[in-house]
Amino acid sequence: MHESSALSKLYNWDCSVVFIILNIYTTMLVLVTTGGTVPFEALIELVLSHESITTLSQLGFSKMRVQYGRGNRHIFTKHHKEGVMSITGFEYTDDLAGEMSRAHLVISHAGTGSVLDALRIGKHPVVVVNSKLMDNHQIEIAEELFRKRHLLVSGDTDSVGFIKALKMHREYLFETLPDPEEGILQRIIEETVSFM
Amino acid sequence: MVTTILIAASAILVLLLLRLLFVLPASNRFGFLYRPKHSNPKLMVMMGSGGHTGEMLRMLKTLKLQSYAKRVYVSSSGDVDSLEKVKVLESTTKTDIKTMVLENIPRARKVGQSYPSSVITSAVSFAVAVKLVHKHKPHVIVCNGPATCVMLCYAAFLLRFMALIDTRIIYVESLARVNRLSLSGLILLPFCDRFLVQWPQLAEKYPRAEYHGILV
Repeated sequence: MHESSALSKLYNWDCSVVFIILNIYTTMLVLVTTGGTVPFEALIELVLSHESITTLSQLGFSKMRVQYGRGNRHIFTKHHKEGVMSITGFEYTDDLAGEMSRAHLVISHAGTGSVLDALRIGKHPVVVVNSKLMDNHQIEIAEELFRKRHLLVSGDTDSVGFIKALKMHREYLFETLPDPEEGILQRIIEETVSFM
Repeated sequence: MVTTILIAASAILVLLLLRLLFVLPASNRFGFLYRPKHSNPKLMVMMGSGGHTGEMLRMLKTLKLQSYAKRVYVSSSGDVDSLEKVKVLESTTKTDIKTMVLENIPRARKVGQSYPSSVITSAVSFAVAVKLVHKHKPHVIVCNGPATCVMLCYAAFLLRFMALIDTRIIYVESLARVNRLSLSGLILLPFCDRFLVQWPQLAEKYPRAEYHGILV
């Protein structure tokens, strides 16, 4: 009797430790990146909206980090409400790839740099296109990468499409983007102006 | 007398044509056989501003910058942003800052400028480009657009045609070009020694366009 209670205590203790460790390692993190300089309020508003937060927490995400861009803190605080998810924001980082690799889901603006950074470390982002930007080149790239099943795309005003993309993301059969040969451009220059 | 002049003129014309066919990478497929050999070539890079600069910086990060004896970065005038980014890149690599040169050329066509008036600005841009290329005599030019980079490449080609320099041109088409080349790319295609595209469908569509994966 005595032994078994000790055992059960130990068992309980073990369980709680396992639970804590599991909790640390399974905290599902969402990273949102909106670009370095151009403010992208629609994306910040979209990810911080009630529907998005609810959907994300239903999908098991409990933490969100939002990179809102230089001088855009007021936009973040304007839309940020306390709720079911723990949400933190930051202006900018030099190590976006590091931030992305810690996240379980990346939501990104359509900037070529951010999208490729995510794909190169094996993340398949949900890309939100800025309808206010006249530069449709970004959209062209994002759509071609979507056509090749590397990522998912949604418009910033289309919250239904965005929620659908979030729900689709886990089950979607993504293709990995093949890495270019290391130092390929250097090799081409060497071939052209032979380094003899 | 007239016939002599005519014969002389046509002979010169034929010689110029032969020279053109010989120098033009599109017509001379064996240009690589007598390629210049340099252990530390001089590199000239066009920073085209905006998205062009963004893609170029991502490509420059993959290069061994210390293997170039001189690196000349050309930006269009008024584009301070690109030069600042280049300085940051150079300071993070193990290069000798003294071998880095920053240059400026006037824009060939400003955004929204009408085509007739852009003829004059292009001419100015071209003249400055000729001066710049002749001054630095780079062994290789790497560029990815826009119109100002066309002027730089034409300047380099003109000087090469005149046998004043031996510069090879490598053009990288923007990732944004999925199914069609840009206007800059299209008019530079015959003049580039290497023409790199970033989508396989472009390499199938255009002769001499090479696809080696996404380079940026």
